[in-house]
Amino acid sequence: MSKLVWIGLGLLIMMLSVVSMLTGPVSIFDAVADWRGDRSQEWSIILWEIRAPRTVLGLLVGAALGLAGAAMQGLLRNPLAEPGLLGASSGAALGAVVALYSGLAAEFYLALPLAGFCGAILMSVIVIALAGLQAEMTVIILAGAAGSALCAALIALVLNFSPNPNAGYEIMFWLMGSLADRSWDEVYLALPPMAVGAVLLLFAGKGLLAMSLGEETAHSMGFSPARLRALVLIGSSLLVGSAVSVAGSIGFIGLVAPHLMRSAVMADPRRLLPAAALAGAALLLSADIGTRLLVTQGQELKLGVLTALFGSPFFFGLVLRLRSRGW
Amino acid sequence: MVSLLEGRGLSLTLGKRQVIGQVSISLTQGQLTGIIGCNGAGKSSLLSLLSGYRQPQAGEVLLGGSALTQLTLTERAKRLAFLPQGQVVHWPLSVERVVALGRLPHGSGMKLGAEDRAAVNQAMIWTNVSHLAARNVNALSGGERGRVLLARALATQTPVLLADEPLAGLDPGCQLRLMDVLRGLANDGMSIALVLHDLDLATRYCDRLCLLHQGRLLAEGSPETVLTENNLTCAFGIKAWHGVIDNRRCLVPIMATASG
Repeated sequence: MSKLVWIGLGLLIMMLSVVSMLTGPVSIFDAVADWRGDRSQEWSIILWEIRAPRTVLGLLVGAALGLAGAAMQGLLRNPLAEPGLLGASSGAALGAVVALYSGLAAEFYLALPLAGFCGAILMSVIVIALAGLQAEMTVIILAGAAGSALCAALIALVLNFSPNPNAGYEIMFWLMGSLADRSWDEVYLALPPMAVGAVLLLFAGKGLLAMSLGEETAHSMGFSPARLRALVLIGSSLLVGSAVSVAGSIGFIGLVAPHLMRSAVMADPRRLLPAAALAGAALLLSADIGTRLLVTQGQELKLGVLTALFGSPFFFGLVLRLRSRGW
Repeated sequence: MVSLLEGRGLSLTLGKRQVIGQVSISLTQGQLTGIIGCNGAGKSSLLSLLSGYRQPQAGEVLLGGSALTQLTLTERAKRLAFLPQGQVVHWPLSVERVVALGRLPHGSGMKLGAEDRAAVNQAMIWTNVSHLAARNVNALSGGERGRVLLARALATQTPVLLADEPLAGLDPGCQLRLMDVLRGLANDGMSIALVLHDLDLATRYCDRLCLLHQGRLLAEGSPETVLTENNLTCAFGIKAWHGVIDNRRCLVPIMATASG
């Protein structure tokens, strides 16, 4: 059973990656027909400079959100915990909004994701410092909620003060999340913090498994709850911060991916980590392919809108299922 | 006799309330120790201190002669198993998986070695949960889940076991069978401390009792010396009948007194 899950997810991701390379306003079949023609250089740019980084970034962002979601749910022992609970995603959004508003984003190309990443890390540091790693999880959640509320208020303030409606629109559209027009630069920017975050979370796997029986039991089995919190909170912040900074706010992946995989890994929080990462990658790439197919008024549908549109009915379904038979 | 776990002058204050005051306790090899006392007497807090989960404001805990704070968490976990109060399993894991978590201190993760598997199977036999191995632990009754969690602690195969109310929610047959198992393990050299509410089982099975009252050690010693009329009235506010059945001492609480 378990092996089949991994093979299935692997095949699905490979298939989606191929579809992602083939999907866009320019048909791949024209490119194949013309691969030695005058426009071959143009095709090469479309495939390797536009679609390939977009595909890779989609997989990375989805995996980061899925992995961070599974880790946060394991740490909080709550299937409704989401990766942005600590304020990393709202911090990233605030950072990006400030970059857009101040005009820094227009000054140089990577200012937007860099500001987003700094915002995420800053907010996570504030929240962790405010609550402390020895605090109960409810205190940390409360600190995260306070941080997120402050970021939301500051974003609204920036929108209020935006000099012209276009700036406001720009900010609003960025917040909806998208992978359009991303390049390898964003991949190179997001990859190192994501890799560090992923390694931290994968180290936490055994501790999260022990945590299934509560903090006191986990401690007696050799796992320090404070160390585990540090690993998960720092790892998730790095993953979510880098994901949001390059792709904008994308909801539901971090919640839905662990849910989808939980029964496949027999609820084991440790095995859920890689499974949710793969499922998140597949989900986000599917959603991104969807945005390219659903072009509205010459513009792609925003990625965050699509994930929310498909994510919320999933939760309605979950509610109905839980009513009848529990988690 | 070798003292495997020792608490010296332990004090713990939570908020403004002192829940443990100057308690010293020693768990020796091959002994089954019962920790008794009324609700709120400090039994769970004492176990929490002995397990190292909470740090005492005064006093120290020694595990095998070494200060607990000098040992790493993994070193402690290989020598001391702890079953806290409550029967919480946060995810719908299988019974076998939960019991196998007991092998985590020995470095076993997803794959169990032959030794791990033997320990898990033995623990499930002791607590009579082998037939439930593939079931979702959260779909079991409270008593069954309690036995699974005790099996997890036993699967660790440590020289010291601390268990907080391991008999809660169990039927009388299960209680007696589990106490037989724990008695046998103690006879084989394990050092076991149990928080118990059943004074009859405490009388019949335990070598020593520690009676806590308002966070302090009211009496300590053999069941006969601890469960005196005075102590029972002072600590529990009860009167009890003492007797001998089948050459085993037994105690039946018969009435509550006004105080206690």
